[in-house]
Amino acid sequence: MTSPLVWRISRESARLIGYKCTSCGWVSFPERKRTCKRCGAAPAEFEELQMKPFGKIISFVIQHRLPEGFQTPLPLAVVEFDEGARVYGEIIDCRPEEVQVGLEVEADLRVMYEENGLDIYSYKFKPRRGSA
Amino acid sequence: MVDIASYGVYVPRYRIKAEEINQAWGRSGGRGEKAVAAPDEDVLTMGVKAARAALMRASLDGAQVEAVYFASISSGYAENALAAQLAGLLGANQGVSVADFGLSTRSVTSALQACTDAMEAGRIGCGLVIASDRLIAKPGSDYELSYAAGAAALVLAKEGFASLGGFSAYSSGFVGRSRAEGQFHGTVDERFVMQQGFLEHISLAIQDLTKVMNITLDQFGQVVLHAPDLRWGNRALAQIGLDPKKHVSTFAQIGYAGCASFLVDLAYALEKLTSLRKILAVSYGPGGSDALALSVEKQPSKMHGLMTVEEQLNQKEHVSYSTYLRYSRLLGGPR
Ligand SMILES: [Zn+2]
Repeated sequence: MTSPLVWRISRESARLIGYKCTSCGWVSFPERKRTCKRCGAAPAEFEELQMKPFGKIISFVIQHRLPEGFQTPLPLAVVEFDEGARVYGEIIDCRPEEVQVGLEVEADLRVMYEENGLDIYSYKFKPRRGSA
Repeated sequence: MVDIASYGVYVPRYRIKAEEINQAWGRSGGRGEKAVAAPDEDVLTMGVKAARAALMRASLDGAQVEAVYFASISSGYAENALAAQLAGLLGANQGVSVADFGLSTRSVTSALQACTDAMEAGRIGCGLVIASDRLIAKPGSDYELSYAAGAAALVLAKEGFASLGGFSAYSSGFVGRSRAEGQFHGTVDERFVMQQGFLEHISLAIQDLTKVMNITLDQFGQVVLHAPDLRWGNRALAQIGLDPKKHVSTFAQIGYAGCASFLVDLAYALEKLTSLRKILAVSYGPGGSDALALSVEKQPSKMHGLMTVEEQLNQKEHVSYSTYLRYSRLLGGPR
């Protein structure tokens, strides 16, 4: 079964649809917020924004101690999309030592976890390479 | 008229050499390599990427697609709606026509035919056919040397760069390789399956196509054969009397990825336009074979930021057998 939480944000998160504050341009992703975190507009007016899958690493940690079910070492980073929205995500397809602040990354749809035998998808981030 | 307006291919980044697999099992030698999916990739994530590349090449929005037909033999689900999930991920409208095809690798051409039929009936004007597979062979088996992962997609529209000129189906009840749910492919008499299954079925499908279209084999510039084994493909070329130079295959580089292999090779052929602009493409799987004739009118457009099939074949990272086993998730473990 698609769980209520997954269903609520599936369209936004799986298709990279963000919400842009009409008064200051701040982008919220994946949830549509009631108030704007930057200009404080309350209630804020947001418009839908189709984001591109590109961004860069703002900060990161390499996790070495995690519970069972996680591969370690695991790079986790705050990524800022080119549109401005910031998210927290896994860095994949590279060695932990390649991860650095400022690294240009591309959002890549992957299986996040399994829920009652159903794969649940979201974005992880891989370094931008070649013409891809 | 039904045209191919665009194609998209997704080849996972990782490769394992046949030699590395053989070494793990105490055997020596081995030619070629195959594509390996990461542990967090499945038929849906790969299918989405192939489809998005196809839409991007045609400068199309998901909302402009009126059909999403999906073919796979390795989704792992007995009940689920993958075509509908793909349609949602691609941003298609809720009224989009969706259908899941499977149970035979040949279902990739069933999907293609269904989309063509819907267009010819005037029910849709633009459709997406996606094939994606992630085949996992029993460790130590012969199939382990070739079973791979990948995805490809075609956009069908009224106007494109290649036209679908003819289609011939040949069905029998013959089943070669098959697999029960949740199990590995069982061992079959490969020689018998190659002769009685593959060679017989594709020959008869091709024979019918050439007759119906009143065309001779030498008029085709490129040939795509949906062979699950490199030797089968070569045998077929010899038996049917086709020039091996016309054979377009990614088998030696990425292995065999079920339904997807047919479309990956077809996309590769479309990309390598030759002076003889006709392509013969023949699918095969349990139950039969379908033969298609395509006429390429012009070179497909090159898109900035979109990798060619050739580039995807070359962009790779080799993994060891132990990493490959971990990625296969046969041992469980984290995604
Ligand atoms: Zn604001």
